[in-house]
Amino acid sequence: MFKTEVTLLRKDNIEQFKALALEDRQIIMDIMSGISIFKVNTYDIQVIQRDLIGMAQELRMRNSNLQEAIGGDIRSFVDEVVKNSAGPSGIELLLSFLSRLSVYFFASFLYSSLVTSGGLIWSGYSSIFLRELGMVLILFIAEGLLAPLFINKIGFQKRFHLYTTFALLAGWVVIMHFFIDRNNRIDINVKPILLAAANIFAVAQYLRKLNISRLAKGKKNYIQDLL
Amino acid sequence: MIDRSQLMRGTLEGCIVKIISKEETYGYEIVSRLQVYGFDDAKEGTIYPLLLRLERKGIIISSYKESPLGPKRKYYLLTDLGQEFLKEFAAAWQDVKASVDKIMEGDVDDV
Repeated sequence: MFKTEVTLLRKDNIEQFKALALEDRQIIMDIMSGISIFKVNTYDIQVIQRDLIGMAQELRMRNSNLQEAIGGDIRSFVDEVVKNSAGPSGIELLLSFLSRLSVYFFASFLYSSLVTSGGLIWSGYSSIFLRELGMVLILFIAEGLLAPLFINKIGFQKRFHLYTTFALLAGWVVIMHFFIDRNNRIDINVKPILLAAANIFAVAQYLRKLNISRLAKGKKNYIQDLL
Repeated sequence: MIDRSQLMRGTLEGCIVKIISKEETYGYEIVSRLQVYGFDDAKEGTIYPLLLRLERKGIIISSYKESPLGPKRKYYLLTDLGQEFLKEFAAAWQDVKASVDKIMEGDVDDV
């Protein structure tokens, strides 16, 4: 149902990627981790990855490799690629956020109902919605903006964005804990929340598909030529 | 003392377009030709962002074709807009070259 130009390209990219030399795979992973949907739209991200895979294959056959072709400064290369690409898609960012939000709400409220509350209607603080929204927002922004900042780092520094994300989430939970209105408890009926989340997810995925077709318009030769 | 790569960077885009204008070609071949003409620092990693920009501007288009060496290869072709770009670049380059020549060959103090 949700098969798009991006899913087709991604599938082919995964197959081609597996066949690359380990060093080339590592460089491509480092480069791609610096290119998030906050900087380049999903379709162009897959095209760039395909180009890098093709470049690596070609270089290997000429007894060279990606490291030589790109040089040691991966960050500069990523910056150049981002600067010269088509840029991000605002609609895609919004739809991507809505998709994650709906999945998170669905999973979180279902878990609370089945594991901690034992039913589909339970009593909770009214601020729970704001808390969950904040969590998703932090995760979404951290993944898209923080992770690319550390692509050139190694060891502890490379995982710095994970620690920062964890600290932000913990900070948010603490803030919500102190500012919670303990007198304002409401009955939370999970059924409509699950239904709304599922519907929002389906609509967001459908709109993403339309948006990807729009982004790929006039470039479909890539898929036809490649597959 | 002189950073040749910095000096040549501004002209690289026009040179790539000129190479592509001759015939449909691919990344490695473009790099090889640039190196033959003195762009010793040119590598696939240098020209790829420029090819992305040229494609985004509609100056070139690309397609994947069979390669005798193995996997399909991305070929670049000049568009009509690219032909216009090339004419403008050639004219601009002549102007810049003439200006630099005048300064470098003459006595600047006399100007």
